[in-house]
Parts: sequence; structure tokens; C-alpha cells
Amino acid sequence: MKERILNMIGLSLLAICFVVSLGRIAWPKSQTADGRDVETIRIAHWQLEGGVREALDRLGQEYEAMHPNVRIQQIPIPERIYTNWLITQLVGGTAPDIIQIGIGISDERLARFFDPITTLVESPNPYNKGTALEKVPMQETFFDGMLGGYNENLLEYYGVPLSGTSIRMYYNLDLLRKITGSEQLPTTFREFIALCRQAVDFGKSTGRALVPIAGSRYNGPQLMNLLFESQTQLLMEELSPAGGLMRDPISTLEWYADGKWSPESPAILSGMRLMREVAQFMQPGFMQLQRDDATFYFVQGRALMICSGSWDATSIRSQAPFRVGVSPIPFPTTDDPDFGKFTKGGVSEAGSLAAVSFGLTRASKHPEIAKDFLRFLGSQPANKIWTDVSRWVPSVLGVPPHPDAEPFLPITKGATPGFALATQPDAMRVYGTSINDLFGQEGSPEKFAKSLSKNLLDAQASDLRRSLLSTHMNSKRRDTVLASLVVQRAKAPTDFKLAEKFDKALQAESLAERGNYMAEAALRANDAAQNKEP
Amino acid sequence: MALPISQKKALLEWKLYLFVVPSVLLIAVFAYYPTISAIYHSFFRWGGGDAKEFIGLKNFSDILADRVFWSSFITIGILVIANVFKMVPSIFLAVLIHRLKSDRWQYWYRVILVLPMIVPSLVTLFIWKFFFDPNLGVLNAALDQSGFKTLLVQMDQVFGWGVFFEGVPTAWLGEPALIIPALIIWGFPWVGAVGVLIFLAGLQSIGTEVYEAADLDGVTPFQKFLHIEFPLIMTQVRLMLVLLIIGTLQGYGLQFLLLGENGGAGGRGMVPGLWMFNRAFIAGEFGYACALGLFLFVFILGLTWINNKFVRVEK
Amino acid sequence: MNASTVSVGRKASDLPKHVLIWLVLGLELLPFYMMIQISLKNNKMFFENTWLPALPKDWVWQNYAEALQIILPFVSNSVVVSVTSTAGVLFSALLGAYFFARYKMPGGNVLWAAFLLLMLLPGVANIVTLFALLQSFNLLNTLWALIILGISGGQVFCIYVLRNFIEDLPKDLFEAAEMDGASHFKQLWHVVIPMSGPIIGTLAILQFLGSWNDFLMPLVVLRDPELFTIGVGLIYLDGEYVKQWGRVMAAFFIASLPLIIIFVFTMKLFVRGLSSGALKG
Repeated sequence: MKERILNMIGLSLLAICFVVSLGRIAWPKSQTADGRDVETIRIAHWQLEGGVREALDRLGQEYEAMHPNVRIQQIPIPERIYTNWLITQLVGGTAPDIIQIGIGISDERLARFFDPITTLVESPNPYNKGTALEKVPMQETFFDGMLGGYNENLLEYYGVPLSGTSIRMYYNLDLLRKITGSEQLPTTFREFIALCRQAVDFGKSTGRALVPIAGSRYNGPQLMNLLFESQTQLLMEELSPAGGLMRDPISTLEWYADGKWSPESPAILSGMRLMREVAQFMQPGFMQLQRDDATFYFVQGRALMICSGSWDATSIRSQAPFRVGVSPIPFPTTDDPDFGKFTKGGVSEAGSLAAVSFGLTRASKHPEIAKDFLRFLGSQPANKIWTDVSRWVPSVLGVPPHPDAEPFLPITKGATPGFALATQPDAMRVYGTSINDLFGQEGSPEKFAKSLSKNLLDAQASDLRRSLLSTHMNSKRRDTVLASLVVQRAKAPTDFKLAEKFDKALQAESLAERGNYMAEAALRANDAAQNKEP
Repeated sequence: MALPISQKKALLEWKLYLFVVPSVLLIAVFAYYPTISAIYHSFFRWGGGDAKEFIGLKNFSDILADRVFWSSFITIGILVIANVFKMVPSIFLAVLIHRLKSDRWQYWYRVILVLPMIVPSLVTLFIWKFFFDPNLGVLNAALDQSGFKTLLVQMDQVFGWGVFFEGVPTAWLGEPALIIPALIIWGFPWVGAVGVLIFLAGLQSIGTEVYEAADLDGVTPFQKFLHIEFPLIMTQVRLMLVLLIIGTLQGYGLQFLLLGENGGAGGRGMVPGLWMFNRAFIAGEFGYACALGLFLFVFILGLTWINNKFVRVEK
Repeated sequence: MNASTVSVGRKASDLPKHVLIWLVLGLELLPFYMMIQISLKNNKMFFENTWLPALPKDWVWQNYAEALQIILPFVSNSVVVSVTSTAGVLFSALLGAYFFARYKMPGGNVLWAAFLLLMLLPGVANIVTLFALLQSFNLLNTLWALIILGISGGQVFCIYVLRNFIEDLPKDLFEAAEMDGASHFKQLWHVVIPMSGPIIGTLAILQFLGSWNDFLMPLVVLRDPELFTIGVGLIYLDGEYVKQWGRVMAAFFIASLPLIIIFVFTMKLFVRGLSSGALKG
């Protein structure tokens, strides 16, 4: 009998939970704003970093205040499940109205699921009324000319970018003072290495578990790739046709196939040596660690510095119990005894594009309102709210960045970065599997270069082959666009805007076809070179 | 047994058919239709919407060339064998509890056994993920403090694994070579309450006289197990074994949660089910994923058929 | 087996068994212990002292306050889905099992084979086409999809078990009810259900557990975070960049609460149900 009573109690508790939960679910549906229909605009993204969700909430509230019959709902999805969530939503037809463009969105998917906003951005932004940008077409109101929202393959603008980004070194200022007695941040590579050594000595003498740089699979390469690219600057200039400065995979493969460079070239070896020198100041086995491991390390005060993007600034600052300093990456100067030979000095960020760009999905049930919200997001007043609340770098011209965001503004001083060894999937895989030959206990640049020599060329060729498939498809698509433009022009020969559009499209297609041709030539050359070898 | 019924009475009892309508409807729509649809779609290149393109057997020839898929079979094979071994602790515990003299204790242990089930398996999984974390490393801390870590480092130097180093936190889920061991270690001590209770139920039928006779003959505890207990729970073992193998072969939730959609570092944790999920919901190749699923389906069906034909247990 | 027939000498030899059992059970409960003790610390405290719980005066109750805010919506969604699907499964399975167990109706064999086949059929490929099916029914991004799928998936095992159980019930009870003019439904209600308390309870708990732990289907079906069930919610929590482990563990505990409630009150029923012979192969 006692058991029955117990069972009854348990079941009734459960029943109460059930009724309460049911109530919670059914309740919001009955709320409408003054009986009028409330249209909900949903905006999805993966930026769970500090500052973003709060800023988007504020922006949503501002917009709702101006348009009482609209509700803006933010859907942040963790990066881990973002891709499969995205695909299921896009394919399933339940996609939110606005989605951040980036992860999981290839050109195919962009063309298939998103609505271009080119017509939207060719006119001035009504939300810029009262500012200096009032009469300026929206596409010219961003610091990068809105190229961050433009897709070259599809020839359309798809996204409204909200933020500028850059990569910096973060420092634990309190710990820095303990180690060096001052809070001066290193500006050259020499000073940087000296600081690392000081940190190591400090750790040894105080018995404190301390690592100069917090590394991980994510943070380590960010620093090391940038440093590597400083070493290929002169090489790239040498190899590029006059004034070209080519860093794209096609050109690099062509030069590789022609024997103009190899993983064992002096500049490349120097870059690898630079990487190894920095790697030794990170935790042993750092390539196995994840991004949050490194951040945790830094925030717990077990590392003096960490390299990360501007997107982590707010998160790091809010988690760290100490003061955080920020400085640009300390590149080797031209008079650096070890690494100055191959570099032109610092690396410039002048060509950087704006990021965090939001696009309109075709599945949206309220496209007009969504477009209007996008216009709002890209306006100067909204961008000011963005930078003030999130502390991220603004993207619209004339918006003063929040003081916390100032160290992250693009640095224009310096030269174009050199080329990287592996940027495409297959090449990156070969790179990743051999990387232990560089960082391991018995590693060395020579060993790494040797293992790359075997497989890197093939990997780059297969990457190129794969990307050729999609560039061919893009060409086909552009041909259709061009054909329709020809017909439209025939019908309206005096439409200047149309003529301009046609010229731009023709030029882009010609450039793309030339690129395809060069790629195919590079692959042919590579095949020939391979066959020549025994 | 259900009562036999004449045709005439069956007609009178036609209302009984209504009883089974909801169930049949549900399984027809939500179980059989998707399966048939999956078989159908495996011959197409399908992006998930209405657009599909018939490509015949191309998906299947792609599968034959798909290295990731085949290496995932090796991984799942290892995991199946590991899971079979992981059934042993449950049997062991069931036998231990069963052999207790006190009925009261037996009863209470049964009850306490259910306690770990309070924590949903999902939460246990995440807690284990937390254990595997290299920095906060509960697992790493345990290894360090118990001295096991030094042992592992020494073994590493002897065998040349290259994963355990002095002073370096071991990244259990980040180091490709350690992913499969981590998947095997997970869930230590590998005791499942449901399994133990079912085995216990099977062991109930053994009377004390059998034990007393065995004691008189001077049989060791282990021999007792081999000759008395094990044969009597064979049916349960066999049932659990079949369910376990089928479940492990098609399972990928564990790997997805612990390692992510690509099977972790170096893709070592990729299992066939996860690859199918990956192809469908990450790469967007729904048709290929159906073909993969069909392949796996036929494979498991084949195993079950073999099991039924050749492995027979006398009751 | 009768404890009173055991001689005193024999009792002593049980001790090693008890020790072993406690050792194994202790290890099994380790995650649970860690979850509770970490949920009352903050990151710094955890770092300094990994294994032992903090002193009561230092307990960080705020972890629970924060966790509650995050995880409560997920818990309530899960409660609705799990309870509804459990009720649906029991309803559907009882009806179906009654059909199979009462008489060997014509065509019954075929239908039964259809059900049995499902138990062995690997449903691994289904998730893709199930997704497409749900899309055509416009059920994507609803909790109903999860409930329906839960019912259709769980009923197979339940029908199997219930059929065996109902067949074992004495036939005269049915005949008596029939002679009293009871319809089949009344027979089910008055004969079967009262006798099958433990079995129904066990099946209900297993179904509830299964639904509670499910995350793959919710991951694929749900779009809005406000509809997320516990499964997806925990993944969401795990996806944050820098985690406050105390808060995370508190969230885990809250996610286990409904189960704790159920188990504490119905544990004996569950144990009895699993230990009865009805679940033998």
C-alpha cells in the first residue's frame, strides 16, 4: 500500500510538471500586439562570442520600437551543430528569414537559398537619414565598399556586413608587469621572443606553471600562419608578373609545377623555422587542444599571451580577472638577423573585408520586412549601437569605434602578405598530418619540408581540380546571366544602368574564364612535370 | 497463446481490427515508408528538396571507392568487439548479486543499481566528455595522482606510441590515436542497470540445491559460473548480444556528441552511421546518404540472418 | 532461497562480494557525484580542489539560479514531449497487443511479422527520408513531430512485451467478462490493465527515458531554440566558448530532476517489472 501511495505521489508530481510545461508552451501564442498581426523576423548566426547576442538584441529592440508590428527574434546556434542545423533548415524549408553568411554556405547554396540584395544596396539607405551618408548608395557606405557582402562568382551582393575583424595578440597585463616590471608590449619579433624567454625564466624561478603563449589547434596556426606569410613576401613579389602580387592557389601551383619554388626553398624553410621558434613557446602538444582550452588557459592566468581574432575580445575581457592588453602581431623587421632576409616588414590589413554579414533567405515569409531590417542593420546609427554594445569593430563609415575596439582597427602599414602553403582542404590535410614533423620533439623545418615535398603538390592539384568543377559551374551560371542581359539590352539599348551591369558582368566572366584557363594550364604543366619524373 | 478463432466468429469480431489500426498506421507511415523511400532515393542524386536526378548505380560505385566509409567500418568493428567485452561486467555483477545469501541485500542492491539510471544517459555522456577534457582533466588528474600516468609514459617510450608525455596533458579526444581508446574506455565500469536486472531475472530459476551439490563436489566459484549460471542465462545473453551488435553498428549518437560531425581529429572516430549523417546533413548529399544507409542496412540484415541460421542455442 | 537456512559460517564469506559490489556501484555513481559536487563550485574553486566537495559555507548557489534560467525551457519542452509520447505509446501498444493476444485473427500473422521485422530492421537510413516526410507534412520545427515519431518508434517493443504478457493472462477472466456482455474495450480496461500494473509502469519508464535521452531527431527537426528539448539544449550548452563548469553541472542536475522524481517514487515498481519473467527473450 505504501508503494501505491509513493507511486501516486510520483505520478502526480510528474503530472504537475506536465501541466506547467504545457502551459509555458501554449502561452506565448496567445499574445499578440494590440490585436494586430505580429510578424516575426528570425535572424540566425553562430557567433556565440561575447557581445554579439547582446548587440543583436539591442538592435532588435530599436527596430521594434520603430515598427511596433514587428518582432525580431535572434537564433544563435553553436558552431558545433551549426552546419547540420543550417542544412536541415534550408532544405526543409523552415529557414529563418535572415541568416549569417559564412559557415556551411558554398556558392551553390548561396545561389539556391538566398535572395541577392543588389537592388537594395544600389540606392541610399533610408535609415541613414540625417547623417553624412544620407545620399550615398548603401554599397558605398562601408569601409570595404561592401565587398564583404559581395560574391564575385555570382556577381551579386548577398550580405550586409556588420563588423571589421583582425587578428591580434592579447596580453595578461598584470602578469606582464610581474615579469618585466612594465606594461610595454613588444613591437618587433625580437622583442617578442625576448619576452617569451623572460616568461619562461619567470615561470622557472617562481615555480609557477607558466607558458608564454597559449596555443591550440585554433590559436596556434593563427599566429604562425601570419608569421609564415611574412616570409614569403619577397618570394611572391619575385615570382608574380609585374605588379601582380598573386597569392591565389592557381598561381602558386603553377610556380610550384614550374619548379620556381618548393617546400625546400630558403624562404619557405625560413617561414617554417619561424613557426617552430614560436611553437616552442606554446604548451607541448598544443595542436591537440581546442580553442576553448587555450582561452581557458589564458583566462586562468597560466599563459602570458594568446593570439586570437577581434571576435574573442569581449569574451576574453569579460572572463579574465586581470587587465587585458592588445597589440598587433609582432612581425620580423627587415633588419632582423634571422628572419629579416625574406620579409618586407609588417603585413598590412588594408585589404581586409568586413565580416559578420547577414543575408536574406528565399524561404522568408516576410521578405519586405526582412529587407528593411537588413537596411536598418547596415545603417550608421545601427552600426554605432553595434560597436557600443558588442565592443566589436564597426563596418560603416563614420562610426567611431568603441574604445575597446580601437586596437582592432585595420592596420594599413606594411606590405601585402605572402602566399601560404595550404589553404584548400586536401592540401590542408596533408599539411596537418605532417605538421608533427615540424613541431615534434625531433622535428625540424627540413624534415617537415621533406614530407611535404612528397604529397603537397598532388594535394594542391586535386584541390584545384575540385575547385575547377565549381568554377566551371559558376561560368555556366554567369553565361546564363550574360545571355539574359544581352536580350534585355537589345530591348532597352539606352538603359545606362543595364549597360553598366552588362559590362561588369562581362568583365567578371572574362576574368573568371581566364582564371579557369590558367588553372587548367597549371594542372597540365603539373601533370607533365610529374610524368617527367621517374 | 492467443485463442484460435473460426472465420465466422472472426467476422463478428471485426471491431477488434480497429484496435490495431493506430499502430499499423504509424509504423506504415513512419517506419516502412521512409525505409522504402530511402531505398528508392539511393538511386538518385538528391539535394533534399524536390529536385532529384536519376543516376542509377553511381551512388553505389561511389561507395565502393569511398575510403572514409570503409575505414569507418574498421572503427565500428573495433567498437562492436569492445562493446561485447563491455557486457562482461554486467554479467559479473549479476552473478555476484545473485550469489549473495541474503535476500534482503539482493533486493536492496537491485534497487540501488537503478540509481545511476537517474542521470539520463545524455548527461552521463557530457560528464564523460568533461572527464576527457585535457585541462580540467578529471581523467588526467586521476591518472597523474594514481601514478598511472608515469606507467603510461614509460609504456609509450617502449612501444613508441607518441601520445603520452611527461608533463603534457593528454588530449583524449583531440589526439587521433587516442580517440578509439577513449570511445572504449567511456562508461567505465561498464555496468548497465537494465542488463544486470534482466540477467538477474534469468538467474532466478537456479535453486539452492544445485549450489549445495556443487559445493559438496568441491567446485570452484569460477567453475560454478561456467557450468551452472552461464548456460541458464544464455538466452538473455544471446538476445542482448544481438541487440547490442545491431545497436552499435548503426549507432552514431555517441560519436557525434563526443567528437563532432567529422568524427574528431583525423576523422578517427568516424563510424558508418555518422558518415551517413554527415553526407546528408553536412554535405547535403541526401541521395548518397540513402545509398550509404541502404548498404549498412543490408549489411546488418545479413549479419542477423547469419546469426539466425548458424548460431542456435538449445533452450 | 531462504536466508534463515544459512549457517553463520557461510554469512562471513559474503563480505568480499559486498565489497566488490560496492566498488563497482561506487564507480558507476562517480559521474553523478562529480556532477553534484562541481555544481556547487565556481571555476576557480574547482581548479584548486578537483575531487572533494566544497564546504557548505562556500557553496555557490548562484550556479543553480543561472542554470535554471537557461535550462528550464528545455526541460519543460522535454517533459511535454516525453509524457505525451509515453501516453501515446501505451495507448497504441495496449490496443495493438490486445488485438494480437486475444485471438488469432486472420491476417494477424502478417501484421505480427510486420511488427517483428521492425525490431530487427536497422532504421539507420530512415532519418534522411523521415526528414523529407516530415517536411511534406509540414511538421518540421514542431514538437508534434517528435511526439509522433516517439510513439511510432517505441510502440514496437511495447507491443511485443505486452502481447506476451496478455497471452499469459488466464482466459476465463476474458470469458467471464464477455459473458457479462463487455465489449472488447471494456475487457481491456477491466481485465488487462489492472493486472499489468508493473509491466505498464516499466514500459512507461523505459519509453520516457528513451524520449528524454533522444537528441538526433530533435537536432534535425527543430529550428527555434525555444522548442529545443533537453538533448539539443545540452548540446547548445556544450557549444558555448568559455564554460562556467559549475553552472553547466547545475544545468545537468536540473536536466536530471524529472527523472529523479520519477525514479525515487517508482523505483520498486520498475525493479519488479524488469525482474519479472515477462521480459525474457
